[in-house]
Formats: sequence, C-alpha cells, structure tokens
Amino acid sequence: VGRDLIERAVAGDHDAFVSLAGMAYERLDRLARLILRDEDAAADAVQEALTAAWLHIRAVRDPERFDGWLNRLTVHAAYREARRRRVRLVEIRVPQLDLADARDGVGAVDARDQLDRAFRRLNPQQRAVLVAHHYLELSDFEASALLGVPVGTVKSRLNRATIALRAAIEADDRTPGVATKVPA
Amino acid sequence: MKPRDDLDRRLSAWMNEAPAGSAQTERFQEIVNATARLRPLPQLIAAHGSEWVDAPGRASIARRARVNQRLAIALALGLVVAVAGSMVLWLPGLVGPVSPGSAIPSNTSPSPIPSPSPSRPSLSRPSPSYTFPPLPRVDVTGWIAFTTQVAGLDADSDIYLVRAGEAPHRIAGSDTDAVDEQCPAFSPDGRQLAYGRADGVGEAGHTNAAMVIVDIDQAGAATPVREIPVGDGPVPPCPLWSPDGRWLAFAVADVVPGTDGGLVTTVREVRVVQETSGGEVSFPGPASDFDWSPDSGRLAIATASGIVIETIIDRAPLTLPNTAEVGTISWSPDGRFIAFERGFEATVSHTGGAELLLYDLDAGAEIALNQHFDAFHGIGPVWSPTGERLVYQRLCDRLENGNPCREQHDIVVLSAPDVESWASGAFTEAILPQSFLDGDTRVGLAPFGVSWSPDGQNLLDFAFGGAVAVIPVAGDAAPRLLLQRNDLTGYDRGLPVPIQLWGRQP
Repeated sequence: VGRDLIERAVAGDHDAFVSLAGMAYERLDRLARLILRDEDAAADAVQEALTAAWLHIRAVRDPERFDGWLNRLTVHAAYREARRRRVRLVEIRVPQLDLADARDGVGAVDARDQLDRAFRRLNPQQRAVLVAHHYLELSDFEASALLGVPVGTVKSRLNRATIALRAAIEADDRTPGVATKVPA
Repeated sequence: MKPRDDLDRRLSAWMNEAPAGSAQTERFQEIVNATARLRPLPQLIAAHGSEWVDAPGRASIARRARVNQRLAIALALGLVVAVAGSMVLWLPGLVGPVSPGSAIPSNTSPSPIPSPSPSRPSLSRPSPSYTFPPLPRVDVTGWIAFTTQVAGLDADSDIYLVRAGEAPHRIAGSDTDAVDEQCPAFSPDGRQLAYGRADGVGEAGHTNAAMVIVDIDQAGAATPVREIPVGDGPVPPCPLWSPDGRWLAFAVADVVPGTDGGLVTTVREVRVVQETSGGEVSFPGPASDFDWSPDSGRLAIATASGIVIETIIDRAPLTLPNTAEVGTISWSPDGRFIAFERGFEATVSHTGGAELLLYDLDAGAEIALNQHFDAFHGIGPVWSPTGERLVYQRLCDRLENGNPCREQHDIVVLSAPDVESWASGAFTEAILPQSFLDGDTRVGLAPFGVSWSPDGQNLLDFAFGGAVAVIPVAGDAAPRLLLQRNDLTGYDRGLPVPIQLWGRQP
C-alpha cells in the first residue's frame, strides 16, 4: 500500500483514506465473513472497522503496519458483531434421500460444503485463528498481534481449533443427513 | 481421518475461494459517505487504548524476534558472567587475591532519562483592543432560558423563557412553591430544555433533587418529558447536553461548609444519562468541571489529579499529563484543544496568578494563552461554536485614569482564524465593554456568565445587576439589552457547568 496515501490519510485527507479502504475492502470483507459466517454481519463489522479506522487514523505511526492494523480492527469488530448476534443455534433437518448418490455427484462442491458446515461449528475465536494462519498466512507472532493474545495462546487456540474442526468433519461424515446452521 | 496437511491444504484453498459478497459496492459507498461526515480524532485520543495501536508489521516482528533472541543471549551470557563473578568473589582463595576495583565493574548506572516536559510556547501578550463595533440593534431569535430568585440570593429560584419583543414567562416553579429550579440548558436541536430542581430553596439543604427534561414548543410552552431522580442532599443539578443530544451529563454536588466559614460546592460524582433510554454511567468525584468532546463519545472531567478523558461506552480513561488542579475546561469544537484555567484559587489573595492554556490533543502539549492573570471568580474559558473564538474572564490589570482597575472584571474574547493559528499562538484579543447605552440608559455589564449564540457571532452576557445583553463580536452590530431584572440569579455557587442559556430557534 502506498506510503504516500497512508501519510495523506493520517493527515486527514479523506480521499486518500477512501482509496486505502477501497484497496483493503475485499480482504477485510472476506476476513469478516470467514469469522462470522454471515454476509450481513460481516458487512456491518467491516463498516464498523473502517469507520473506527478513519476516526483513529492519527493513531497510525508506521505506514508499514497499516494493513495489519486494519486487519486487527476488523477482527475485533467481527468479535463484537458476533457478540451482538450471539448464538442462535438453528438445526435444519435435511431429508435423507439418495444421500450417497448426491454426495458422489457433487464431488468437490460437497467437500467444500462439508468444510463450511464444520467451520460453522467453531466459535469466532477459533475461526479467527484458523483464518489468521490459512487465509492471511500469518506466523504465530503476527497472529498474536492480530488477535491481541499472547503467542502461547495463539498456538494452543490453533491446536484446539484444528482438533475441533477435524472432529466436526468426522461428525459430519458420520451423519451426512444433518446440516447444522449456526449463525454466530 | 484425513492427514493433517491435507486438511490444511483444503482449508487454505476453501478460504481463498470463498465467494465475494454480493452487495459490496453499496456497502462500501455507505462507508465512504459515513466517514466523510466524521472528523478524525486528535492524535492523543486516537492512539489511546490497545485496540487502536497499529499492529506490528512483519518486518518489525522479525526485528522484535531478533531483538528478543539477542536479549535472551545477552541474559544468558550475563547469567554466566554473574555466576562466574560470584564464584570469584565468594571463593577468592581459589583464584588468588583480588585487587580493589579490578573485579568490580566501573560505574554503569544509566544516564538519566529526561522526563517529558510539556512544551509551552512563550507568547508575547497581545495588546488589548478596546474598540467595539457601533450600534444598530441586533436581531435576537429564539427562546432564551434563565433563572430568577424572587426575593434575594437565598430565595426560591424558577425558570423563565424570554425572546426579543416579548415579556418573559415562567415555565417552571412559582413564587411560593419552595422548590428551586435552576440551570436551564437547551438541547442542541433547541427543542428540549433540561434543568435541575430540588425541594428547598437557596443554600438550605435540598431534598428530592432531580434532572427535569421538558419539550419547548414554538410558542414557548413546556411539556414534561421525564425526570431523573438524583436523591436527597445535592443541589439542583446543572445539565450539559452532549453535542449530539443523546446524553446529558451533570454533577451530583453538595454545598457544604468550607474551612473559611463560607460554603463550598463539592462534587460527589459526574453522572451521564442517555436521554432516550435513561441508561446511566457514573464517574466518581470530586471534579471541578467537565465538558463533552465534539463527537459526544467522551467526557473530559477536571479532577484533582488531572483532566481525565472518559469514554462513555468502553470506559478507558486517559489522564492528560500535567493538568492537576485545573479549574474550568472547555473542549474546542474541532476536538483538538481543551482550553483550561489553572491557579484560580491562588489569586484570591492577589498573591498568585491564574493561567489560561490549551491542551493540544494532537501534539500532546500545552499552549499558553495567558500565563499570568488575576481572577476571583467568574467565567472559565468557553469556545464559540465555530472554534474561532474563546472567551474568558479576568480581573482588569491596566490603568484607567491613572489608577489600577483591579476590582473590575473583564470579559476577554480571543480570536484566531483557524486551528493552526491557535496552535502557534497567533490569536488576537479584545475586551467586552463594561457598559453600553441602550437608548438613554447606560447598562452595566459586570460579568456573571456568558453563552454563545449558535452561529458564534454574538455573546449573551448575563451580568450582575440583572442585565441580559446580546453583544456582537463580529460585524458592525451593536450590543442590545434583552432583559433587565433585579431578581436574576447572581450568585455563583461554583457549579461545574458552562453557562447554556441560548435556546430554541424559530
């Protein structure tokens, strides 16, 4: 991201901020959707994060950290959004008709759906640590800064999230006729 | 079970293939529009709180990791050296005699770290200008609220409304109800009035204190909206609306005997109430003053230990350094400066001096506007709504007819065209007249309180002796007497609230 744009935004240039926000929007939106698993909630979280970023733009001292800062504001906004829309567990029973055939026919799409269903079973903190590693490709140190927790917590949370995800996939394998929708 | 690396691979692929949201463009435009209406916070406030500190980038993390590694190595080496040194000291017989000084490191005490000191640009005092525009009458629009005391200083006070061309009319209280109603303050949209009430009158003990909110219609009639109870003991609270009109802040204050035999006001707490829901937040006293940030998200409270900036929602207080024992404060409309007075009490004996300063929340430093003046009591700094002017009160320090005018109180108006001019101290100073002619009558203006008109072009001067006058501070309009009553509240209990009198526009 252009250092000049960031410096102009920090100086109060709204057009420069809009350019920066435009460049980051898709990444932040995807980050929020992965954590929240809800398109509207994610859009609200990104709006909150970018509004906070503009209000606090003068807190940016190092342009090199700007992207990481936006990521962090978005993760925290996603946590808040998750708390606001907290935990309405809705189980949707899917008729178990020709399941084996359907699974065979869908192939890769089905595998993605299974991953999606399993991912929804995790809590937002577990999703966030997996997103930090697998989407943002951050190291433990960087994930620590993003999530605002110690490195040791990142490691243990990542381990638990991976175990939980694996268990959710295995459970999904065992009961393929039940889809669980958990808007967090 | 699938192998771990396969799950990792599938997860990465799935996350990067996740479809984009369908309504991104509209939502992004909403963000652009919303942020265009907002002004970034000053640097000091923007950076307060861990969430707002910019996260370390990859390079700095790598640097930190290297530094940590070096620190670990240095610590390990230091430990080895220390252990070895201890053995040398404890077991001198094993290594022979130690000559004085040879095993003892040279003085390695660190250099003193200079403590940060606030920068105070030293300003030459601007020359006072005594010229004021000549005299056609100003148009005064909208209702103005004020308090009267019907029979002297310790008598029943009531709330009145007045506007140009009409006689005042009472909207709260009666001559005989033995209830004090005080401190009227119009909401920012001018449609509601908040004021304090309590059973009992004057300096006597009050009971059943409450904050009252009423609707004011175009004809100046009041309709009750809600009462917020404050309890027994406190004086009627003085409300301060947040700029967005969503919150009301007020001090819960008691009048108690002071050490000199007089009465002093002590603030138990500063309470903030959400106008719509009645939800409350409380900040502990004592406090000498408070004011809202322009974005209505923060309240600056002058406490004995400093000016504390409290956030209303997440409660993350920030204390501004070197601001202990501040008297009155006022937050500039652009959010960058907090104007404050310090040293007020020291001037009672004429031995000390007060100073008027700005705290620059971008630079984290003080700017002196007046480093020495005398003041017994009166008006602390009050920003005009446009931020181009700052008004305060001080004792006259010049000679008039060859004599000092020490007992004369001046209302001083400082003006600067923009933020940077305030930051660099490039402001001008004017002093309001002590009196003016209204027709054939000379009207005295010994200052008690002031309030800015919503456009920042006029000051409402609420004077001892009962005059309420409109004083233009720009253009060529003339001062105008709006009201002259000898029963207007004229006694300053030191309640911490800026004067807010100017109300509903037609």
